[in-house]
Amino acid sequence: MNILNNREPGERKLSTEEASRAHLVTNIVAATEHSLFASLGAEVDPTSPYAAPRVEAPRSVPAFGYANNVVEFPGRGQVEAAPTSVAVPVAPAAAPMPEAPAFGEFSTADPLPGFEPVEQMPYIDYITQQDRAA
Amino acid sequence: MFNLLNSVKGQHDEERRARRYRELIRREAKIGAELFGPIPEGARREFFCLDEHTWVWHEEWTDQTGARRIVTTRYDVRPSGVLKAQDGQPYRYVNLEEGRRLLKAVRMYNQRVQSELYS
Repeated sequence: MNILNNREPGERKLSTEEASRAHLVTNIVAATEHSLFASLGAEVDPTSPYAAPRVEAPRSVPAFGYANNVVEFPGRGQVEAAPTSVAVPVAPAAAPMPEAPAFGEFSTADPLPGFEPVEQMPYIDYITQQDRAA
Repeated sequence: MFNLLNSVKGQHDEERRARRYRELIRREAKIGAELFGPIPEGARREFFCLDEHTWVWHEEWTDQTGARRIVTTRYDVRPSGVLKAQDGQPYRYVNLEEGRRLLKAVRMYNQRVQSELYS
C-alpha cells in the first residue's frame, strides 16, 4: 500500500465520477440486502451475515441457580428443589405472499395482463434516449 | 469578460462530468443485462442502479405480431422492503422468490461492475 496515495500497487486512480458510482453501487447493494431481509426474513439467504438469528424450538431451560436440582445456600444444608423450565417463544410463521412474476424470468412472449404500453418513464430517457440520439 | 469565460468553462466542465457519469451508467447497464443470460436477437435489455435506492430493469422486444414491446420495471429500495413498479401496474412488495433472485442479481452486479469498471 502506497501511503501517499492510499492505493495498492497496480491500482488505478478513479475519476470523481467513477468513485461516485462505485460508492453508490456499494451502498445500494447493502441497502437492498437490508431491505430484503427486513421484509422477507432470513429465508432470503440463510447464509448471509444479514440473516436474523434463528429462533430455536421450545426447550426446557433450567432456571438460574437450580443446577442438578440442588440449591445451595451459604451456611445452610443442601436443599433439593424442583427444576423449573422456561419455554422459548417461537414467532408465528409469516403468511405466504401472493404469486407474482418472478424477477429474472421475464417472458417476452406473454405480456402482463392488463399491461398497456405507455410513454417512457421520464427517468429512462436518461439512458435510452441518450443512446438513440448518439 | 474573465467572469464570462470562467462561466462558460464551468458549464463545459459540468457537461463533461454529466456525460462521463451517463456513460458509466450505460456501461453498468450493459453489464447488468448480461447477468440474465443471452439477449434475444432484436431485443434490448438493461439493468442498472439509477440512484441510491432505485434499480431499473428495462426490456424491449418485438412480439409475434411484429409490435414493439417495452417493459420497464423499477425496484424501489425502502427500509421496510423493496417495492416493484411496472408500467401500468400497481406497486407491490417483492415476494420471497423474487427477492431471492433480485438479491442474487444485485450481488453479481456489484461484483462485476466493481471489478470491471472501478478497479
